[in-house]
Amino acid sequence: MNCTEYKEKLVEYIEGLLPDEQKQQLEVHLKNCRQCQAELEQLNALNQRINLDAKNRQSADFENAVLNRIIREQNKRLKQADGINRQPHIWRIIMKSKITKLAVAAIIIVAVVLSVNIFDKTVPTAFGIEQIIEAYNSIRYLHVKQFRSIQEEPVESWIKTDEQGGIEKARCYLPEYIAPEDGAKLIAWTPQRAELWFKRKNGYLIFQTKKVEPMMQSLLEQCQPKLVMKKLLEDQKAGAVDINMQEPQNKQEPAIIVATYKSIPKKEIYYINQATNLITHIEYYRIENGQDTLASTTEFYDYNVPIDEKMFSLKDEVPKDATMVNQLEQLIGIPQGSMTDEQAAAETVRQFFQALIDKDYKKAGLIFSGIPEEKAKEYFSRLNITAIISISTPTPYPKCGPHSFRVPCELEITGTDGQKTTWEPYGPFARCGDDEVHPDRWIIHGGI
Amino acid sequence: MAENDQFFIEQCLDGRPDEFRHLVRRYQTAVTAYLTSKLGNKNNAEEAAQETFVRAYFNLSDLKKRESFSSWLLGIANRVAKEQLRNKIQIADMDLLAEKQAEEQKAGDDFELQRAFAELGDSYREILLLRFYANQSCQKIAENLNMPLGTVTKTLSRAYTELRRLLEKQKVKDNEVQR
Repeated sequence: MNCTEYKEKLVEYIEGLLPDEQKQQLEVHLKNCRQCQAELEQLNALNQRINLDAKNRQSADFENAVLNRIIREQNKRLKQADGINRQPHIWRIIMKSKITKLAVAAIIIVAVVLSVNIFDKTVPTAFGIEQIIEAYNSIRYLHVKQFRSIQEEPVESWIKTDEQGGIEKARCYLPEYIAPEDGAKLIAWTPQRAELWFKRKNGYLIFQTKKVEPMMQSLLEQCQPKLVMKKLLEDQKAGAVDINMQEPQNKQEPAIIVATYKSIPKKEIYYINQATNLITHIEYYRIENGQDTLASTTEFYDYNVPIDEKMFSLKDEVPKDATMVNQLEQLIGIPQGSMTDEQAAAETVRQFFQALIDKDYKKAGLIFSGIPEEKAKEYFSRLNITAIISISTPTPYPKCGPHSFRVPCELEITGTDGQKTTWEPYGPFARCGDDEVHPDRWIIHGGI
Repeated sequence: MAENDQFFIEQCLDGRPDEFRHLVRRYQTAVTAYLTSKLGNKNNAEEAAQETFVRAYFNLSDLKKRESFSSWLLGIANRVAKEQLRNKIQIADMDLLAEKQAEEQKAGDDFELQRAFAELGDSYREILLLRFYANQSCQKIAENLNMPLGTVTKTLSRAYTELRRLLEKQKVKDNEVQR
């Protein structure tokens, strides 16, 4: 062989594809031929260069990004496909299913004889609510979006569950329309602590977990599919709901469960991935004058895609200038002691204004729900309160909680020109129980 | 992962969309590299690569020759790239692009190589993408592309030669610009 022929064999040599005999021949030639040696070196260098470029391109997030897009696209297509006229479509799919056809035929025969309502019977299918519940046993992570039909921005939750399907950690974004007075909120919740960031007010609250537990539980019950399905199963067993299932033969199409409630004018449609038995989304309908109106949609994403632990704490996200109230690290408000609620409310207001008169902003801040000293100074120093004229009998103010009172009062304020005037704030409002570890402590929560 | 593309494609069509993950993993680098060479921008390329896989997923049932998944995928990538180029007024001249992109390059990016890739003939580019970016052996490529092994190694050899020529050409050009 000459050099040209040897050079042609170099790729096979690098790839380890040369038969032993040819390989030995080539190696002998390489030892004696500088030109071919240089050629081999150049090829190896290029080889390495391409390999390095390939390595630099690998992206761990890419795979998840693609799969998320596929799920989103699938949900979108499903919606578009039957968005125009859902009822007949669902009916059509239901009737297309072989199992349903058989079942319906069988039931019709019975119905003719016994005059029973067809859909009082559950259509027997190969999959069922129990199987779906079971499929969720292996799910630890999920990401949920709850859309209200009129509102574009969803309530969004990221959830880590424990082995029983309970909530271990969660993060929720609540858009402004949930509580317009608060503005949009982010909540991070773990068994040790809960964090709340009021975006518009730029307030950052760290507090005991238990206080928001009922609220978190009710929120999460709606977005933990296992609990949703358990509830549906109970309702079905109690005879409160009619359930229709259909299972298209094409496994790429979702299975569908239509739940129509008997005594409540509402209907739910569940879309289930047939391969995994996991729910992709749920649609909630109101039934008004015989018409179904879509009330809300819940979409499920990223099953078992691990959620970064950082997501369950807001500390790195909240702006540095946010007003932070850490109820875990400081004792807020004043103790009730042996006072009645009315006395305690009045005393809280008295101590708060006295602290302002004394320019003790640290104390004022602690009574004013625990805001930091510098914030209290910023908010209240320009009022320049110089005396308490009177404090009237507190009146219950249930709007802000069961132990909440309005405490009318008159205060003397001194203007920059030294002129004294009387000022009556529209509150202030005092209540106890904000600090769950010290439920007997009273604070001011607004009205100034 | 010993299973071939066909296996995963059939799994997907059988209602196991999660199995598509394996195909994404196998070809993501190749598709992204291909699109970088077509679009000349890493971020656009990654976005276009995602779009390519999403389209592939929804059109899997149209793929007649399942053994040619990789070529089919690169075909989709090519269409996505063309659409992107049509939608945006892109700079057609890769040399101009090079100047513009140079600032954006992260350390470790081999932009000369990407430019050379952009100029390669389709068959050469495909074989290099499969060999290095999809990390397939020559035997595997032969199997996937339904080609004799000898043809694969010969094409690979020519692809190297062509790539070296292009890299050399660039070097000369760059030197001229610097001068």
